[in-house]
Amino acid sequence: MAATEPVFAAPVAAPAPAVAVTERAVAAAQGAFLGAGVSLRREHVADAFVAPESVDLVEIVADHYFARDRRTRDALRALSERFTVVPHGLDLSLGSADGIERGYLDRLSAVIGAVRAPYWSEHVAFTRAGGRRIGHLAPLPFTYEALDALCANAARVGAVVGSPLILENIACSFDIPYGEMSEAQFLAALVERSGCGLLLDVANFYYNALNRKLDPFALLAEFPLHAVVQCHLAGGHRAHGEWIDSHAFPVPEAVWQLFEEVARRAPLRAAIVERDENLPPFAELADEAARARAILRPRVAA
Amino acid sequence: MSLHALQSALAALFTETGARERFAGDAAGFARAFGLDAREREQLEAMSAGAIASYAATLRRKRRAEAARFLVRTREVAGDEFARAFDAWAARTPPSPAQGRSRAARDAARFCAALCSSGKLSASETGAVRLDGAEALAACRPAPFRFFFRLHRKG
Repeated sequence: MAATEPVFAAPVAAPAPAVAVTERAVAAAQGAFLGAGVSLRREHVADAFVAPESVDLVEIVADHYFARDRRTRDALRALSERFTVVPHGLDLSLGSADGIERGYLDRLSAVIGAVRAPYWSEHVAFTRAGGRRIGHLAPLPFTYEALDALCANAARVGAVVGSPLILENIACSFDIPYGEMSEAQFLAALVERSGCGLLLDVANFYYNALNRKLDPFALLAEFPLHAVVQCHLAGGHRAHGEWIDSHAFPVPEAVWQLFEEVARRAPLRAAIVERDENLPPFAELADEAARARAILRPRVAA
Repeated sequence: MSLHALQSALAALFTETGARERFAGDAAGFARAFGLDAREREQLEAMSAGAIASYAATLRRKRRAEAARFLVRTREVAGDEFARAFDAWAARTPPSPAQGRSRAARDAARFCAALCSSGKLSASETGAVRLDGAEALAACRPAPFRFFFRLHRKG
């Protein structure tokens, strides 16, 4: 096997999930339309407060506001007074067979409560196992056992956090082999069993398709779009023969085209432009948010 | 229990160079050491060592990007060597168990300490890198927004 060229599992011709998928309505989709905004990074907070009208909402990384001091409480209060705030968690490890860390969940819950979030988001992933912290999002095998663990953890979280949870697809250049279903089937079953909505990271979805040499538009037809409440929009790059979801570049045209298709078919409440590296001036991200708003607007009018 | 074993093995593969070397040398033995059942052993053995290494590199790159925000002076000191030096350090140092921004800040501080003790820096470079490390630890909390709070409240 060549060490430099990843070998991907072929698309799985899987049986339908044991869970009958009925396009269950999800709680997070029931609220008001929120609009388009940005994932707010520390470097942009000042600009966002100076021009709050340039975004309809902001997403914050909840993990960045875990400190239990007055400064953090003040920051969260100021943000929630000025903006609609959607917290985004990174390290809950919802797919972990080891369960949920209660201390982490309590901190996350405090942030979500402090900003009176209409909903919040986490990932279909695990970030720790067997006493090791991975530090980032790792892929789950698309198996019934992983689905059970994810749903059980989501239920435990739901008993603590009042606000609805939506779950995001992650980027990964390979699948864990011998999955029992496709990612789309896994997510559809997850929605059906947990009642959670979905956050579709269009960039992750696009680069996953490219890395598997699959047509992203054909894949989108299989995705449980009826449960997609929010989208992430970002741009990545190509390195060493592979597409990387670096979220370091402007949203590429192909991702905009996919987003337009999602906006036509999903009960979207919001779209968030996400940039993790190469942070441009805030105004550039606000411009991308404006383009997302223009795409969402016809749906709202209808 | 079975998913737990598979995830433990994957976590080791994604974060530890030694684990990837053991896996590349003897995938079946590596899987047995983590107590995987026959089906999971098959799952793990079917994974390409190249794909795992590539994913581990992606995780290191993300880790570097997060830590780099705390390392303005260190990036100047290291220049084009920064990415290579951080990745080499990260390959032998598991992520900090801290949560949230603290993890990136602690990563940054630990990397600064390792760089300072490498003996490759001049006295002035060591001073700059040490300062980055100290500031990284101090910056675990959100930046002070107080001016904007006042602005907002007056508005």
